[in-house]
Amino acid sequence: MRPHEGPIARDMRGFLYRYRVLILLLLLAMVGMHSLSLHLAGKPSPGPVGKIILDIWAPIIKVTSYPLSKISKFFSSYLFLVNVKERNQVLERENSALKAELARVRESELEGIRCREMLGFSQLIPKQLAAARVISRSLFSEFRTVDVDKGTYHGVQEGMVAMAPSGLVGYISSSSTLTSKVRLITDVKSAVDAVIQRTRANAIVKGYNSNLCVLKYLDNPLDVIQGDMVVSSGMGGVFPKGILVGTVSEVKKSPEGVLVEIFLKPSVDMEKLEELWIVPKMYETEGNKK
Amino acid sequence: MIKMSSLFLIACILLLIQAMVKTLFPEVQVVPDMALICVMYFGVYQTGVAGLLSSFVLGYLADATSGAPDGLMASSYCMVFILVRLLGRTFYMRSRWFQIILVGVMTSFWRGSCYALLTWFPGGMEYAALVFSDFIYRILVNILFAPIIFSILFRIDELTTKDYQSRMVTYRIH
Repeated sequence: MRPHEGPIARDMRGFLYRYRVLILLLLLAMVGMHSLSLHLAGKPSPGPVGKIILDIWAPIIKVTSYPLSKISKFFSSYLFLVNVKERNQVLERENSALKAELARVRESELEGIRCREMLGFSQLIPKQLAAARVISRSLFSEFRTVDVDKGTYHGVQEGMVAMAPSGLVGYISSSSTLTSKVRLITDVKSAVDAVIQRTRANAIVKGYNSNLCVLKYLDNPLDVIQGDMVVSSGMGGVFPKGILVGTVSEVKKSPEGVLVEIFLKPSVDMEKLEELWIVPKMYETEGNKK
Repeated sequence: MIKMSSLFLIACILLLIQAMVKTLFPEVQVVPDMALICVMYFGVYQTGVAGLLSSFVLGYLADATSGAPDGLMASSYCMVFILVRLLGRTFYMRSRWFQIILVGVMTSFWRGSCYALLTWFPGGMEYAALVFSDFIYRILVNILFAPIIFSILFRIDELTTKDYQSRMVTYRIH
């Protein structure tokens, strides 16, 4: 007991001590709920504590996962070589066909560039690319995110676009000094304004609870067929125009012929994603700044 | 203090292992929620304040590193801790059957609390719809791994507590 303490102060101290767990629980619940409400209201940026945690976490997981990933790669690359010869032959055939296709596309691209220059249009694909390595994935399957080893120190900012050679990956949802979180296009919160290459119909690509996406808000959904390529439309000012998003993998119709759902297989295999590029938002690209 | 710090450190290492498994084997959809099992252990053996703080920090760490909305795991882990503390202190946790039942029930409660929190706030419905998508697998995997994780934590507890045996007798009264 403190000598100069009054009865009220003593009672208060006793009360605080007796109900310390309950008081702490209320405080922590308030902090947790406040963070959750802010995040779900569209302010996904982590607070200063979250950024410090990410900056501490990133080097640890980078250092620990690197040797293990090498061991894992060794097993998958050198020891499990079943059917490699047959697969090689198939790929060689596919490669020669793609080379021919590439030459044709290159010609068309050059023609397109000339036309755009003549018309004074800006570049469609931004040139400022920063390569980043995937260092960890989400712990829970319902949240489709990956962490990359580039942060604000490297010039990465929230809202930037993540791409792989084969297509669109997602966008930077939050970034700390050394690391950034990429929300994949397969996450249920992701939405990409896209266009179907064959019909030029606009649609929104939304994430689905797997490695798939769904196409929504199509004007004429019955016009979509399996195998249709879907590219970003460039609308919304986030994703650059013309980036491959994926291919229509399934068109589900009800027995009456009314369309139910259109599934899209992303062009990038998100489970095998190891490296990606980070590009500025569409309206921040060099071409658009001109 | 050493005991609390050691158990918390082990929980962080288990969270790191969980993240590494997901990173190295992305095709594995469900990995054991090792941090959650640690929270259940804290509920039985840690003191109220230390256990609650550890659970919150562990949940916040899981939020920051998993892509989950900030505060979701922190709040739900605290709820699990409190419920385990209310229920679990009267049981003898060395029993495998008790561990299995506790982990099964608490994993269900944890998913339920995540669902409740996500539906409570606007903007969380899309995630809430996915909470129970791999519910059964998650419970089974957690049940499968719980005895191993509990054994590790018991061992750490033993190594860092001098009067461990006397404490075990105290808890065994029921």
